[in-house]
Amino acid sequence: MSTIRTLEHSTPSSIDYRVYDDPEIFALEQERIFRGPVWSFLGLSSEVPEENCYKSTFVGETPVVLVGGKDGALHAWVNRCVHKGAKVCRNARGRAEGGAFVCVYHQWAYDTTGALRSVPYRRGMVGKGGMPASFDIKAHRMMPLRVDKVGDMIFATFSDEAPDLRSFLGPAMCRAIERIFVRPTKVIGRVAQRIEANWKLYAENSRDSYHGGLLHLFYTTFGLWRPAQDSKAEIDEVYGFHNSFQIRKPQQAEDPQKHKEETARPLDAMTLLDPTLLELRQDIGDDISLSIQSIFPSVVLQQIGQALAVRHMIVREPGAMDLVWTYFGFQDDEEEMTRHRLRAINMVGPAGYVSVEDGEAVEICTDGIKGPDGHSLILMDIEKAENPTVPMGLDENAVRGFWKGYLKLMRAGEGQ
Amino acid sequence: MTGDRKMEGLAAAVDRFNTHYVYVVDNDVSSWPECFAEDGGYHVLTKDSASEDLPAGFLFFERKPQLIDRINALLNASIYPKANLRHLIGACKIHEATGDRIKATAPFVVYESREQEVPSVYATGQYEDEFIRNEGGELLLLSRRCVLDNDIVRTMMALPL
Ligand code: FES
Ligand SMILES: [Fe+2]
Repeated sequence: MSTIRTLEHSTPSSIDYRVYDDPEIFALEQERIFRGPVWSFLGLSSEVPEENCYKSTFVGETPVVLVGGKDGALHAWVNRCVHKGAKVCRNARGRAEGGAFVCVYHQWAYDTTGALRSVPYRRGMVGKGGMPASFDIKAHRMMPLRVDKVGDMIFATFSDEAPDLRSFLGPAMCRAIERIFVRPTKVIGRVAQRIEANWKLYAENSRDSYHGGLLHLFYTTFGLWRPAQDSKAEIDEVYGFHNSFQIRKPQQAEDPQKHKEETARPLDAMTLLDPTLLELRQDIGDDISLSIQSIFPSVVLQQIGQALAVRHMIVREPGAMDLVWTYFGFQDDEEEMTRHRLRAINMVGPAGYVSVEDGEAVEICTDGIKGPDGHSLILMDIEKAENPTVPMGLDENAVRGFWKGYLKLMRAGEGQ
Repeated sequence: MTGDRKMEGLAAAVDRFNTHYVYVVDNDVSSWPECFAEDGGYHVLTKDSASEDLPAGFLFFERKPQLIDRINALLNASIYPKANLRHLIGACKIHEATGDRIKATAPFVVYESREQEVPSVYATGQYEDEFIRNEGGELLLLSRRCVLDNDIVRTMMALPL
């Protein structure tokens, strides 16, 4: 009851704080979002480059394995043995010998599609023991998910009702994804950070350009911020809960004085001794220097200079998530380009100059919302156009877009 | 025999350097870049990535000016939880010593104590180092690669490991 009330009290511009920490809401999200008519990110094509290569990951809190099958097919199944529920695949990544996944507990064996293929001592020994004659191996398999991809991004859904992936993402988002995957890619490294916050706080953060120059003082301290730069935000046409931010180069300082007047923190301008990490190289083949796609529910695809990454939110519990950063480059990158990507990565990730604060920002929200009931105020630019063309930094349209889609999914089945 | 003695001498010198490094990062972090040579590199990545030869990690710096920028940003711009870090570095192992270069490794642990919280282990791992000597004969880092056992850190990574 209270769960329903909490959701009813919320609007896209005013979220009841219990939506972030109520365990019942968390359980309902698993059902209506992560196992609902939604596509969740699993991995990149280059993480399962060949037949029998796999990656174990999560959809919501459910462990799921992504596997390369025959002839380029992709399979995904819930990582749960049909015998007693043990996790069958115990490694994060690897290659399954002969395409067999064997549960270590009693060695029930599965193929790449997740179908059960053999059960030890099924017929017992010398007429003793064994499974009942009625037991039909073919009738059992680990739970499959629908799998599809756009660009090199592989997604899966539990739902038969979910539209096809491209329709779920919408044309604008497909365009923004495919813009980045112009050539075959390769993973160049991974890092992760445990954030003691609800996953939706980070989902908001990645759609919130308002905080960019205000929380991340690197830009302003080193004279690099210009809110009026040539930027655009695009919200998906279908649901409104995906978002893309893009900035065109050059990234030079412009009127930092105006920004200083708006900020409450004192800024002592400093100069970078070595600004190589900010250099833009010819890469994707257009003049976009930053492009951040926040894809509902739990993945961000980013190009920040030459730092290409997916940020995958692994939802652990109401107050905890892991943010996994997978950095990638193109297979035809020369060694110097890879080095330059490593330099650019200093800007992003858990240690990055323009992202080190994000974990702390969402954790202090988690601390602050404890106690009396209350709600947020997400009002920047609310009176203007719903499909925004405001420069980044001056609105919260994409955050409201997230909540519009979220609330619609969460209220489905309540007769609204 | 003299070879062994020479190695022992080098190991003692590297251990002395590491004792100094720990003192600097935990007590006087703005002097941290001074532990490095002018073209000294500093790289932080996970063991998981290192074992697959994947170069990207948390941080990648190639020259001392970039380390000074890092400290300037941390002390003047970045926002992160208020915490005391405590580094412990184990005895080093010398892998190679040619001319004025020494290659060594040493295990490390970093504890984190945040305000009003019991301390926790922030990172464990191994430094993979290359040292040179300055004109005064003192060791400086030509490169320090911090290879983390943990593939995940709490909240963020700000202060140097
Ligand atoms: S639990 Fe998997 S074989 Fe028994
Ligand atoms: Fe941010």
